[in-house]
Amino acid sequence: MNKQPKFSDQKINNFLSQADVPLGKDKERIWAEKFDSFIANENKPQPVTISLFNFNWRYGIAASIAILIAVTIYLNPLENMQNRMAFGELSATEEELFADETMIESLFIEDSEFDDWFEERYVLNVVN
Amino acid sequence: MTEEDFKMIYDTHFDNLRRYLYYRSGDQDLSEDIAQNVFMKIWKKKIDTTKGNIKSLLFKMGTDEFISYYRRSKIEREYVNSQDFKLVHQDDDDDDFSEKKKMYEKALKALTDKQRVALLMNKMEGLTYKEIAESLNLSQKAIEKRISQALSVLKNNLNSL
Repeated sequence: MNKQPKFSDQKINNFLSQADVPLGKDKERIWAEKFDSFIANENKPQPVTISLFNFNWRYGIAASIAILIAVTIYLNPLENMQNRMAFGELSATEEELFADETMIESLFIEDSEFDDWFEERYVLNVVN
Repeated sequence: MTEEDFKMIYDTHFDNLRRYLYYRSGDQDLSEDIAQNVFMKIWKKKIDTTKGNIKSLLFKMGTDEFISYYRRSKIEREYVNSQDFKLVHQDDDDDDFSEKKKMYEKALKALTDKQRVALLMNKMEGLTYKEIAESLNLSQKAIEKRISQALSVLKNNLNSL
């Protein structure tokens, strides 16, 4: 004779169908304690802060590049100095510096080409 | 999502989620905290609950939160095994019954949490395999297997106590 198990499938099913797990606080109480205030806070209109310095980094980079190019063009020293010399705008100090620079440059000119170089450098500037 | 819609979802699913989390953890406070966090996320992130299965989504979020909690506390299975798994029963007032109830509690605690979840959702809540599969985002076959294994282990545990 087979021994009947004390806990058969049927007995287990019967027991578990009438059982439950302890859930603790009632859900309405949890709603009142936690969710009511939570939702009220979330629904409160948030103050809008407008930043005057809303920096867009792309514009910053573009502006930097533009400034660099402008500075390079404007501050090209030799060309600028020549232009100013042509208009008689160079100061005494600037004239001396320009003279030194020209003297150094002349050292690299071949003797046979010196006259052409001199004419181009000084004479034509004065005439024009 | 309006507050009314959210309250309706809460009323329908909060206890189911809490119950599911208790099946897994055996910890009432933890189940309640995680269930609350899940619903707060639903509201905060304005998750669209009209598309798809909301119950499945809630259970998935609850599972993810639960697993995150496990990882944060770094004690995985030891945590579950340290918790007593409790039941409430309509015959609780019967003293003779309390001994039997303790046996069930002990035997259920010895199951894996996945087996326990599937078994109790089927036996306690009366959900079909299909409904459990949809809630847990698993196949029906997987649920069938888990419940079959759970019943077998539970029966062995009870009969050996």
